[in-house]
Amino acid sequence: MTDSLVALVGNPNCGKTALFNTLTGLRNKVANYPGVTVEVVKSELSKSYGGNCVLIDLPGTYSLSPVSDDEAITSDFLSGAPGQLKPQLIINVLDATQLELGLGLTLDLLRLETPVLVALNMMDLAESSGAVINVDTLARELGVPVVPISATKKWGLNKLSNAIESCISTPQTSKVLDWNDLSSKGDLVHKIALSCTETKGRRSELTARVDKYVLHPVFGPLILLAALALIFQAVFAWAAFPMDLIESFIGKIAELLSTAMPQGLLRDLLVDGIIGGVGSVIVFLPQIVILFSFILFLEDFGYMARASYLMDRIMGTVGLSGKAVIPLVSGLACAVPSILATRSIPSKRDRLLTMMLAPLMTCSARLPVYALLIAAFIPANQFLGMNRQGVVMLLLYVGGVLAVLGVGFVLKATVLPGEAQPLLIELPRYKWPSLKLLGIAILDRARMFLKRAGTFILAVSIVMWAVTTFPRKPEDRAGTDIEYSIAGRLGTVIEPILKPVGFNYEISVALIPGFAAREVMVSALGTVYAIGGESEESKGANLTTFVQETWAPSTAYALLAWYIFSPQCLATFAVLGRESRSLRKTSGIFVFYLALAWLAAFAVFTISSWILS
Amino acid sequence: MLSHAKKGDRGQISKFQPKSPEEVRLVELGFKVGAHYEIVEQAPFSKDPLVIEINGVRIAVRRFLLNHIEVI
Ligand SMILES: Nc1nc2c(ncn2[C@@H]2O[C@H](COP(=O)(O)OP(=O)(O)OP(=O)(O)O)[C@@H](O)[C@H]2O)c(=O)[nH]1
Ligand SMILES: [Mg+2]
Repeated sequence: MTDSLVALVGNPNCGKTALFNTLTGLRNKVANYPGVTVEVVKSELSKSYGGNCVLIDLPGTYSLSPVSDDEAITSDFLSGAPGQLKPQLIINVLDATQLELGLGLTLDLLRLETPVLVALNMMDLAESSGAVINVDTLARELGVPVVPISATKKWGLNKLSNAIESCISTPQTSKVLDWNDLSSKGDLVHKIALSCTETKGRRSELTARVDKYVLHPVFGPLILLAALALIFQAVFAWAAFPMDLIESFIGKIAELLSTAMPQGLLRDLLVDGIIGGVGSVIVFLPQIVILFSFILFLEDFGYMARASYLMDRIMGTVGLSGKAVIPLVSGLACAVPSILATRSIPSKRDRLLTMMLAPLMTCSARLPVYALLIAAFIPANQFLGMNRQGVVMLLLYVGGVLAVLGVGFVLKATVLPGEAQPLLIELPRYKWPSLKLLGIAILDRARMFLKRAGTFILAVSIVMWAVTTFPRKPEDRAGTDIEYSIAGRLGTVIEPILKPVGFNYEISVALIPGFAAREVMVSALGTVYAIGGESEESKGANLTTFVQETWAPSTAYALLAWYIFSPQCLATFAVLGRESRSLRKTSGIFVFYLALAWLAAFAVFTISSWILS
Repeated sequence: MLSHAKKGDRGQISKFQPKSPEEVRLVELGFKVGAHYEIVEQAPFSKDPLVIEINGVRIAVRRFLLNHIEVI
């Protein structure tokens, strides 16, 4: 017998993915804002919960009449689009703290042919707010089994898995509920919610207390700014010490290998290629961890939807609504999930505009590049009571946001005219994130970063080493080894294009693999300098010192400006092409960003050279 | 009209016949006849968007969408 399909369906943010994760042992993204899951995800039910079926996590929706692409994914899936398997059972996840909101969808689901089982989630929150829900009444009113659970506290999950089993083995048809239009549906929902609520919970004190400040006309925007300032301050100040540790550790290994191994290609590959390349990226692990800790905390606490409210007006000036803020903020991690997250934006035009802007947000792969250049060229002294390096980092992030607004303005005036669809978004209750789950999510990010360094960046580093080493320069030729290599020759070809923006030959060489992934630029520079280093003792010295000693400051500033706009990272543009379904728009925006990057770098280089001379 | 409500206002929705898909979505979010609401906050200067609590759920919304909702 094939495994039965069981689909998790419910409102956005009711805890479907949290339940999915607990029941399957996966660790997919859970966060406290509507629209986290935007695709169909399948996995086996854990053996400890009985196994034998495949669970399906879906995007949340308020009804089966979709208004956005992510909701359409759910309703298409349930209506069994041709060629697609239909689930044998629907688990309707309801948020016990806002029962009435969820029941509208429940009525829709009961009209489908598929049997329904209700999982009444967030019972821990309902209980602590003093709400009492009569589960039996609810089951009787709906005519389907209801199991009270808490997905994160793991309450009631064995009961739930038993119920799943019996619903599959003996499917029951649900009773026919009496409603025919929106208004009679609303009345019925209200009646059911009323009949099974014995004691109403207090309104969420935490939410009212926090919102008083977070949504406040004056304090709200200030808190938003302060939070950002704190994050980038922390990324610099707190990460410095662990970064020094990692750096000196890697330096020790390089030194050890250099002295222990005989001179030759293998030693060069290990020391220059691998340690020089991968090592220079791994150093940034602490900064990545700190950045993600803040973002994950804010997402899980419930701040994101508030940020869309606070930013709605500003986004309006570029033809977007506050809804665009959530995908764009997730672009601080990476543009790829950010582009996917635009599926929760209802209007097609707004969605397209948002995804075209997503590559401009300062993604975490830019962090190593920024951090390297800042460490080399910006003094670490105090400035207005903040670490000056942190201030510059904050300015670069602000630069990314300004780039989003500026380009958004241009696109609205040209290719995507019109106004944004007016904002409409649920502000979820604040929830204290579970420290354990938060910790696991942060560790996952760290693991992903290291895994990337150990696989992808390692591979690129080896290739980089090879193309910067071969063909080897014959003894009797003039010039450096690297100039004679493949990469060196390529670098010579593109150098003239990049000379006006102040990029030297090494940058030109390192930019090419930087298109595979942004942070590879740093590892490539690491390799190029490790190989290009003239003297023996300069080998293995750290990249920051190298850059500091050999680059003009205006070159570094120009590279920073380049990185704000440059359409680097092929994965981003591949996803953009797929989600926008337009090759023309995707290639157009690619060329546009490339031109912007060049112009920005040119302007910064010219102006800063003039000022500094 | 709910679209003219000010911060701190409370009341009850008296009439609302949704026409557009967005208005249908409002009903699904709880903007039903008889529902009690409270304006929790409004944006500075333009006073738009605003945050409404309805049936214990907080929703941020532009006034434009509330044009056809009558309240008492
Ligand atoms: N206290 C408590 N919090 C929960 C419970 N289940 C989920 N949460 C929290 O509720 C929030 C939303 O959970 P998700 O699992 O992301 O919700 P979802 O239904 O998948 O949301 P979408 O993917 O946006 O549709 C997260 O902050 C979870 O940590 C629960 O049983 N108790
Ligand atoms: Mg989800």
